[in-house]
Amino acid sequence: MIMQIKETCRPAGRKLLNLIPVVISFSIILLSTGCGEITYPKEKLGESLIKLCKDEYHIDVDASIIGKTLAIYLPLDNLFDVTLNISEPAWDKVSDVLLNARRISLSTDADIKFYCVIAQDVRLPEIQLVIVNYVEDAKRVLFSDISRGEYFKRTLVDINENPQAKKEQAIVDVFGKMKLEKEWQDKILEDFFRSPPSSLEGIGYWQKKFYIKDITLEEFLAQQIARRIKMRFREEEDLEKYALKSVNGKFEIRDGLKVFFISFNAESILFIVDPDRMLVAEREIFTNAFEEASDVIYGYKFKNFDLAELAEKSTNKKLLVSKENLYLFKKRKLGIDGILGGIK
Amino acid sequence: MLNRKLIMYFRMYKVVIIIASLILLLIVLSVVGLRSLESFYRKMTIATMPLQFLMAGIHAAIFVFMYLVFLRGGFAKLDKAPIKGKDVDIRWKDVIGMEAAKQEAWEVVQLVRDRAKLKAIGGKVIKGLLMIGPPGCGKTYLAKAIATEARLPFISMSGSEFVEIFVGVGAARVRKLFKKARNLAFGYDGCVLFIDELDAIGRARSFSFMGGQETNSTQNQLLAELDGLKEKDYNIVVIAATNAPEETLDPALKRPGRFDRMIYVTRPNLEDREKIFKYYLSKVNVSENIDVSRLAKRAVYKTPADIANIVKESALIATRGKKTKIGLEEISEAFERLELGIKHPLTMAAKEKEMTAYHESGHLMVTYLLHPTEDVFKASIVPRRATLGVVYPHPKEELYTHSKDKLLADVRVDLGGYVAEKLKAGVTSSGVSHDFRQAMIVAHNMVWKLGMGDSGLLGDFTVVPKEQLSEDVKKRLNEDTNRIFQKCLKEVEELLTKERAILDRFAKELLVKNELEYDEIEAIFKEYGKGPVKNN
Repeated sequence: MIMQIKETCRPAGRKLLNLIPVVISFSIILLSTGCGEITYPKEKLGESLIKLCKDEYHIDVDASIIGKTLAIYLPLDNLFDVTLNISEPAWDKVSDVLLNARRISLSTDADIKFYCVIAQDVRLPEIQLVIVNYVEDAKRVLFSDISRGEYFKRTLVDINENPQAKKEQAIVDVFGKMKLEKEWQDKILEDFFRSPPSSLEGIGYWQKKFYIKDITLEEFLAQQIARRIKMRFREEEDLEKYALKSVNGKFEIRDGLKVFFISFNAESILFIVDPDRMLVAEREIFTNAFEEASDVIYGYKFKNFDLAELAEKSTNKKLLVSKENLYLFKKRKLGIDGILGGIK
Repeated sequence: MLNRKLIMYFRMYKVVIIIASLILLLIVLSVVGLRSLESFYRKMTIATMPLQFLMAGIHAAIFVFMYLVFLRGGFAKLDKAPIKGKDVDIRWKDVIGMEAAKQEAWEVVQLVRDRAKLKAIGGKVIKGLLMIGPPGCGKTYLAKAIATEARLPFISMSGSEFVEIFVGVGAARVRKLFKKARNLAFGYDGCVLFIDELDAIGRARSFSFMGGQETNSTQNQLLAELDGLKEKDYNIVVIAATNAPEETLDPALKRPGRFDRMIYVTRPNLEDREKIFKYYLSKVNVSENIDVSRLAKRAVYKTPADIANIVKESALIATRGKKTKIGLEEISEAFERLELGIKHPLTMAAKEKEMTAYHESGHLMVTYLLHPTEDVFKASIVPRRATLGVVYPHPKEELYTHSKDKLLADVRVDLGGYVAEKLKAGVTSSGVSHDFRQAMIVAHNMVWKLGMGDSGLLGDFTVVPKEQLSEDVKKRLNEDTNRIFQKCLKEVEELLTKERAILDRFAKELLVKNELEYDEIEAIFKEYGKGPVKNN
């Protein structure tokens, strides 16, 4: 049988050899198209985005770039419906702008690491929707390296009170009590209170001005851990017995140590007095929080840190895990008991 | 003419041309499509392209494998590249001998060349030419020469290439072959189509339901295509060759309008053999003292292929013997190898060897002293093929019929071995079985088919079913057969008893020398004052 196939294939093989120049020429032609110009050069990145949104989706946006972060402001007439939820047409527009932001970030020679869409309802600019994406995640989902579900989990989505508006409102209230003139109020605000934010939570758009910072991967991961812990406690049935009241994620440098600091407030909704059951509940909460944190850090193969600190506010307990132990845990060389031994 | 050639190429390669154009179009569209993509997506597409190629290759390989395994490479596939007449390059002068066949074929060449002239007169061009004859007589060679001289493209195919286990495949191949030939005829103003071993598809059709449907349908398609050539005026000459007897071919093939002309390519006669020997010997380094006419005489019933093989074999023997020229010795050895086979060593017991020597001596003496048409060329007790010894007879001349004397002599020769063994040892061995068989066949045929029995019964009794023959007739015929057998046996016994001294001498000589050449045999007979029987 093999011989028969060989005999039959031999003439075909010779013919295939004749095709080699054709295949090479075809490959060269196609590959040479890859040497074409960059679609969105860095010099015109903002303009390109504004034009793209206008031309293809008829959406007016504003754009700004700080360092490696691209920020897009999307004013909408009807971001929120009457129940103060995001309306469906608004979601469609936000999705379109996110898609354009991804296209621009991927097809440019500018070194864009993050893009952030700030959507505001023009009727209520004090409330804003902020979405932050890591460009590398966008690439990985395109190559099917991560799933769409995972990509969604990696996206930071937050509806918050516009931090700059909140800050200015408090100051304006003080100015009002001082009966300061409007002109002076504006000048003081401009000179002293309208500076870029220092953290991710401060990002926003107020009075035709971007309040953005160059997002770092560390703080993006810290925020992502917090968001994913929140999602886990909300979505998993086994964790319904716990009430996660708050969760925050930060990346800090303490005493020369780089630390992921995740603070949360999670309590059992049941009244537990038995110390053993309390201990079990505490271990379960920390286990879930740590698993989420380790998933995120390991998922990005992030190593530029020393410690991961998980702090539960109601019991004032902390779990400290070194980078090495975190990676050992993910490589299944260290069990969860070995990790939870660090609860203090 | 250029337009016609372009149209011909388009007709022949239209699938290839369409596919190539589509591929080109796809390349252009791919480039345009890629250029219109944003740089990232463009790079992404290109980056994944090798993987896509690889996957496509794997899929294709799996498909091809399945295709080969389950469908055996395309039933109707016909990958016959046409050869231009000038590329065949076998000139008319290269065809040696077969003058009659050449003359017939030359007419065909002339008709193909002067087609316009013939059409002007209103004559019909010959479409089919059937060459019949034994294998190795130069049928294929002659067909190639026709193609060269006619300066037309030449497509050659063997009849067996049409044969498939699946019904309809052979017919499809015939259609494809003729389609190709018609295209070539359109482009080059003519084409020669050569079907070798026509008997593979040209046997008389069977109309039973017990199989043979595929051969029938292939042949039907061939007949239809031959008729089609007649209807449309294509200058295609179909030359077919077969070494099967003419009667085995389907009569429909031989009717006028299909294979109009039949050429019988027979074994070469003495004159032709001489020419063929001269032709092949002129291509090798040969001694000056070789008598070609003697070689031609010795090569009775040999085909041109046999003669070519003898010369080739003698060249190999000369090379092995570190000689620079081929001599008579090498050619003689080549003859032996061709006719007797290669010697192979076999250790025989002294008694068995002696019996073999007597057995062969018996054959030798009877052939030499009693056979009217054959000489003894050589006697040997060296094992060859499946025999322990052999007496190699050689016809004195070409005979196309056999006389009663010749047939009786054949029976006597066959019985010579038996009688010699009996005279020497009083008992005989199993070595006589083949001789008896041969003798019985000849004697039986003499009586049953040729009317040579003493009882006076005439006719071919083998055509009458045995149950229709009376017991008396069968008895008389069998008695006649036995009488011939016994008579011949008696004659041989008398001869060998009378010439016992010569028999012992030959046996002794063979035991000493193992082989005796013609000259040595003749010398011994002369010593005893004996000469060969005269041909009457």
